Amino acid sequence: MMTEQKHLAINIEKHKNMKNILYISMMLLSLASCKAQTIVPIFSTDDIPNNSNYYHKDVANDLNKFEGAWKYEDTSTNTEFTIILQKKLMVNDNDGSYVYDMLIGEYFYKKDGAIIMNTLTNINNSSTTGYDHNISGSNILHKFNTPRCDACTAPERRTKLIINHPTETEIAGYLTLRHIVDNGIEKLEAINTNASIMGYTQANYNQMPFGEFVFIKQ
Amino acid sequence: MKHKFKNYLKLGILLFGISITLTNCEKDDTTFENNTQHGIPSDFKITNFNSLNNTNNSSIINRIQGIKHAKLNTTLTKEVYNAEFDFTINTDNIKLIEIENHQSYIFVIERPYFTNKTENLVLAKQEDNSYKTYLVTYIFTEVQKQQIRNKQSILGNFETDIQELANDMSSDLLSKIEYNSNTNCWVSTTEIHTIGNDYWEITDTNQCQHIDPITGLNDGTCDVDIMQSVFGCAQDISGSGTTSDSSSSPDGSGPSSNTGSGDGGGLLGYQSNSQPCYDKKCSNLHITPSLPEFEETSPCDELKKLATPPTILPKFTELKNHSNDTTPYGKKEKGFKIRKNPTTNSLSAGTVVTGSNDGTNFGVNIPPTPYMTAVVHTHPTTGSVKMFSPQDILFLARMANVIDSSISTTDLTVFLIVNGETYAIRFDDVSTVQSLQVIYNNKKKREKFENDLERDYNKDNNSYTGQTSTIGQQKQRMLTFLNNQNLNISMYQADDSNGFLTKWEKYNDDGTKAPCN
Repeated sequence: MMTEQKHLAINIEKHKNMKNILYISMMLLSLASCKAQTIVPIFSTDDIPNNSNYYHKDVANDLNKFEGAWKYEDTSTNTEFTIILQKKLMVNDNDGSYVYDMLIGEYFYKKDGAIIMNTLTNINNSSTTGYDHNISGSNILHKFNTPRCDACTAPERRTKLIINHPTETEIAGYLTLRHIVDNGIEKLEAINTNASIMGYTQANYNQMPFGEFVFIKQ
Repeated sequence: MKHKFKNYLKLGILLFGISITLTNCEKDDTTFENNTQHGIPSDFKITNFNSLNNTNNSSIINRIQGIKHAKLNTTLTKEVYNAEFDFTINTDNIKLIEIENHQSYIFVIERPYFTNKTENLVLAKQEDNSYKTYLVTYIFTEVQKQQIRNKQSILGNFETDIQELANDMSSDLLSKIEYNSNTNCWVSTTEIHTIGNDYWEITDTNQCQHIDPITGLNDGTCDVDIMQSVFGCAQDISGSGTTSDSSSSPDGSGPSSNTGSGDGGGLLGYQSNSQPCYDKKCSNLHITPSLPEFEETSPCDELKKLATPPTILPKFTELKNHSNDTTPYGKKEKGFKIRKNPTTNSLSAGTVVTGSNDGTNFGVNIPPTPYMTAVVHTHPTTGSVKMFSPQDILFLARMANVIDSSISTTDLTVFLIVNGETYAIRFDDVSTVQSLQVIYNNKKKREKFENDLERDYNKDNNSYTGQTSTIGQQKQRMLTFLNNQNLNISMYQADDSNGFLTKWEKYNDDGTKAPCN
C-alpha cells in the first residue's frame, strides 16, 4: 500500500516536471520566433553569418536600375546580345542560410547571324528560381572593384552577376554592369569575363558572349 | 568503496606511467628476432639498434661517419647525409643480420624528395673482415609495407635491386644483374648511370630499354654502350626470388653487384629459395627490408611528396618564375596536372599549359581525370583575385567527382602560385568532400558559393582611396568564408627558406600559420 502511494507521488512529481519543461520550451520557442531578422545592406563590407536570421537586403534599391530588357546590337557582324533582368526580394533557399535580394535574368545571343543561345522564355518559368536562372547574383561593386571603372564616381555602385552556359554550367562569366544615362537613354556598360570551372569543353566555351558590350534599354 | 576503487585506479595509472618511463630510459635498446621458418637457419638472427654507437662496432661507426666526412656538408643529430648521392642515412633504425659468421648492417635511406622506393644501405662483412657497401632498393605496395611492419611474410611480388657502391662512394654504379621472371634467367648488364634519376630494364628479348621512372613507360632504347650477357638461369624457382653469385660470371669479369627481382614469401622479405642468400655464394650479402619506422603522413608531408619529385619540381619552378612576371604575358595563367600511377603510386606531371589571354580570359583549362591527384596553377600578381578563386575551391569537388576509387579524395590538392609564393588547399576529411560535392553538383548552391566568396574578396577594396585588397587580406577572407560554410578545407603555404617546397605551413582560422612537417 505504501509502495503504491510512493509511486503515485513520484508520478505526480514527474507530471509537474513535464509540465514545467513544456511551459519553458513554449516560452523559448515564442521568444525565438519573435527574434527580428538582422538586415545587412547588399553593399556592406560586413561578413554575413550564414544563417537565416540575416537578410542581405537591397536597402538603397541599387538593383532596381538594372531591371528590364536590354539589348546590344552590332549590325556589321549581325551580332545581338539581349538580357532580361528582374529583381527578386527575400529569396530563401530554405537551407538555413541567409535570406537575400537579387537579380535574376535570362539571355539571347546571336553571333554572325546564328542564334547561339536563347533562354529568354525561362524568365517566367515558375520552377526556375534564384541562382537556377542563367543570369543571377547581387554583388555590388564600386569604382575600384574588378573590373576597375575609371569613369565611375566614388559613390557609384555597379553590380556583378554570374552568367552561365545553359547546358554546360561549369562555363560561366562574371557579367559586370554599370548603369548610365546617355543623352536621356538608359544604357548598361557591360564586361563579361571568364568565371568557368576548369575542365570545360572549348567549343562550348566559345559560344559564350565574353567581352565588352553596351546595352540599350528596350 | 567507489572512492577506494578510484584511488587504486589512480595508483595503477601512476605505476604504469613510471614503468613506461623506466622502460624508455633503458640503455640497452637492442631487440632480438629469431627466425626458424621458411628455410632460414636457426642461427639467423636480426638485432635492432637505435643508434650507431649502440652497435659497438667501430668499423661500422667509422664507415658511416666516413661517408659523412668524405662527402658531406650537413650534420644531423641522428642522420648522416651524403650530398653526392643525395640521400640521408638514418642511424636511429639499424638492423644487424647475423648468419653463421656473416654480418650485414642495414640502414634506412631517406631521400629529400618523394620516391615510391624503399632504399637501404647495407654494409656486408667480408671474409677478410672488411665491409662492402650496397644500395638495396625495393618497391613494395602499401599492404606489403604493413606486412613488414607487422613482421609477417610478404605476400605477392616486389622488385628488388641490389647495387654495390664503390668503397669510396665516389663513383657511379658499376654494374648489375637483373632477373627476368619470364625466362627465369639472370642477365648481367654493365652501364653507367646516376642513382635516383633513371633506370634501365632488360626486355624479354634481351634488349635494354630506358624506363621513365615516373610513368614507368619505355621512352626509348638505350643510347649508351651496354655490355650484357645471360648470366645464368635458375634451375628451381620455387615461387620465390633468387640471387646469384657475381663470381660465377661466365666471362669472368663478374659484375660487382647482384640484383634480385624477386618475389616475397620469405619472412621479413628474406630471400629464401633454391639459392638462398645466406649461402656464401652471395658474396656474404644478407638482406632484409628495413622501412622507416615512421611513414610521413601529415598533409604537409603529402604536399612535399607531390611537389618535390625530380620530374615535377622543375615545373613548379617554371610556374614560380612565371608568377613573378609582371609583363602582359605574366597575366596569363600557367598550370599543369599531377597524376598518380595506381599501380606503382609514382607521380608524374602533365604538360605545362598557358591561358589564352583573349582580353577577358587569362585562365588555364585543365580537365580533371581519374588519376589526377593535384592541379598546379598561377594567378597573376596584378589580378584582382590573388588567392584561390571560388572556382579553384570548387575544382576540388570536380576532381573528387571523377577520381578513381584507388585514390583517396582527401589526397586531392589544388596548388596556387602567386607572387612567387606557393599555396595549397586540401580537404581535411571525407565529410567535407561530400559537402563540397553537394555544393558543386547543385547549380543554385554553386553559384551562390561563387557569388559570396567573390563578394568577400571585393570587400577590402576601397572605393575612395583606390587601395585594392592584398594577398594577406584575401587569405583571411577565404579562411573566414570556408569557416562560415562549415567546410574543413585547409590552406597551406610552402616555407622556402630551407629548400623549395620541402617545408610547409598550415594556416589556422585566424590567419596565423604553423609548420606541419
